[in-house]
Amino acid sequence: MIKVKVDFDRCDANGTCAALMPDVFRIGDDGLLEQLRTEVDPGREAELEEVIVCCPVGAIARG
Amino acid sequence: MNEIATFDPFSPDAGTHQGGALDGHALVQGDYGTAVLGYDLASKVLRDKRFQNSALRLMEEFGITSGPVHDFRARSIIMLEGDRHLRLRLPLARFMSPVTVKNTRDVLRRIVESINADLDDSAPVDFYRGVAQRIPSLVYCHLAGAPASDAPQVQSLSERTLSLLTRDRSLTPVIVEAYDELFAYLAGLIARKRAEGLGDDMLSYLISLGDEGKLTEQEVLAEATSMLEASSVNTAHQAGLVVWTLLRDREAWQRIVADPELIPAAVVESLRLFPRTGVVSKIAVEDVELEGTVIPKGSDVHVAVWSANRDPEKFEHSEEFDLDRERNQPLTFSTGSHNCLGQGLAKAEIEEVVRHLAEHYPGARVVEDATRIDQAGGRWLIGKLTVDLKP
Ligand code: HEM
Ligand code: SF4
Repeated sequence: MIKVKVDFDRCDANGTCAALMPDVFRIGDDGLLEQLRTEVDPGREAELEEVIVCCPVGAIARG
Repeated sequence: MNEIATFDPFSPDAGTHQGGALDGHALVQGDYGTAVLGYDLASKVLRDKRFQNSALRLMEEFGITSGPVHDFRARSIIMLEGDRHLRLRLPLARFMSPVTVKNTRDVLRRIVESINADLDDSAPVDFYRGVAQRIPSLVYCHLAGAPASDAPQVQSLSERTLSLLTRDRSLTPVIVEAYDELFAYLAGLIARKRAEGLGDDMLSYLISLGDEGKLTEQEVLAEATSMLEASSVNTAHQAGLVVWTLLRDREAWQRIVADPELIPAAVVESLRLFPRTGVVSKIAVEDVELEGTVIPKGSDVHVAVWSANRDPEKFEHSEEFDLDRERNQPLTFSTGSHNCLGQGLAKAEIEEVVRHLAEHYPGARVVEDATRIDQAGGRWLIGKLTVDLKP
């Protein structure tokens, strides 16, 4: 499994990640980001790379 | 005494408000509509999809109610929500993220160096026109795969199109003409790129998404237009404001010169205190209750970023420049789903300008009597910024 880390101090809650991987990230009712999973299947590496690149503040990283 | 404090985000003295709630009110109202002054409430409003960008309505108020400029604005990234928004946002995001920006650093450095090579540093320089204003459009040209010789036109187009936000109605003809010129410029650039073969730049990527049917032709043009209008004018003024802030705080400046690792934090702290986007304006798309006040559908809600960034409930000693703030997240680039897509790039551009100054001109000083910082439509701007590089 690949570990997924979010730097919540940096996260700006814009929800790009939640749109791309809704089973991993979610924008809660309070407008803030929730991380639903901390690991993803190795088969989803490309998907995760896309999310990492698309986060506008660089808050997502592989663990 | 029953005196009600007033605040007008667009008044020339809006900057005298020390920040945060006014007499305990994070939300105030006036002729202009509603203004949000506190950091937490401002973040909430910016993240709330029941508020939409006011740019389209502002255009309509300026008499632009139909035609290609109105159509563009109506289907541009800032106006859309949900899937239609993401469809436009994701293709751009990959070119703008900090990860990508890292690879652009060398290009940024070369651009900053080439501009500084033109400067005569033996006398005070017009830092805004000579440096800050020239960099972002060169960066846009690099990003879009356009020749660097297009940069002055890009700069001017960005300045003229976004002048809508200064809320000066007399500019309507200038704005319409600028968009017409911008559409024609991009149509020409796109045709040229098709003829010459696509590269690995952002515009080529958008064109290829169009060819693959993932974006319509109209969407390709709207994407390119949004990026061009947003690319230059805000970054230029913000770079000027940051340099102005840092050079005047000699203690902070000495620390930066001694330790360039502090530059990113110094840039964020400067754009907290002097945000180009002092106000971000939205419209309620339905009745919304905020702090016990019902904001009726269709009314204006102005997020006073200037005030939110200086909210003492959020930032300790909020009026002070502090290089050591932790979790410093000003709202200068907004927040939520429409937050600034270009923020990573804009910050990198400004950092490189500061780095160049700190490395080559550690003694640089602002020439106060040849410098003017102003405000128009709640947006902070450089009237003139004169810097003595080698005093
Ligand atoms: C220091 C310079 C800049 C400042 C202060 C700034 C500020 C902002 C703000 C406040 C918003 C959000 C508006 C809202 O919430 O309604 C925004 C959105 C946006 N910015 Fe910037 N910006 C800057 C530079 C740039 C650059 C360099 C680019 C691109 C090259 C850019 C592209 C965009 C785009 C495309 C959006 C719309 C995002 C969306 O609606 O999803 N900006 N910017
Ligand atoms: S994309 Fe980045 S900033 Fe946006 S919500 Fe996800 S982690 Fe936060």
